[in-house]
Amino acid sequence: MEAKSGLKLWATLNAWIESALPRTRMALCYVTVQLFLGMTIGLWMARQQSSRLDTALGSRYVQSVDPYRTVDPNQ
Amino acid sequence: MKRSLLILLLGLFVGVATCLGVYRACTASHRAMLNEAAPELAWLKKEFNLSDTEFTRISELHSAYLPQCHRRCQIIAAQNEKLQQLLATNATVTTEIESLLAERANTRAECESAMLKHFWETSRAMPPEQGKRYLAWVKAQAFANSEGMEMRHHQ
Repeated sequence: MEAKSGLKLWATLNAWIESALPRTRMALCYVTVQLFLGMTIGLWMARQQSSRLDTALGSRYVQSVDPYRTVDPNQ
Repeated sequence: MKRSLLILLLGLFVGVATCLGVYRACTASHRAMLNEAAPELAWLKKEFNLSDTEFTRISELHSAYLPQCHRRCQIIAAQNEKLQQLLATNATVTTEIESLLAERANTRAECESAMLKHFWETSRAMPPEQGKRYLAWVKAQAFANSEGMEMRHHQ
């Protein structure tokens, strides 16, 4: 039963893609959404990575001047 | 169908390419820092907005401090080794062990005092506001964990 409804959903989606995407406005809309999505995810990932590197490099500086600072195994 | 598939794939390509491009552009300064000879000092320069002159002075202070720090670390390592030998051959706390423990504590105190002096010297080489921020940050980093032992007997 579930497999049947899944198949139906896929067929509907497929039909929608086939009919809607070739329209110029819809295609432009889709590509624009992908562009913004890519930008948002890229920015979020970069912010996470920058913050991780800031913490790691700050820790590395303290380790270089403080002999009692233990090395964090996560870094 | 062919046209739909092409648009679908083009959209996905645009999304992935934008994501990678933005990621690379936004992490470029950090990646450049990691390629420096001393990434931790490059980070310090960026984090505390240091000018080239201030950065040169701080790098000099850092290079002058490290050999002294290394020498003190070697002394502490030798004292630790000697302590291990004494602990292995004695069943009680002898006067020799006591004096070595005191000597070791002295070296550690010397080490911490030299480290604090270095922090102050470094902060003075920065613009006043950044120096204040640096001091607050580095003192918290270096001495924040020292409360662990005291807290164990707090109750």
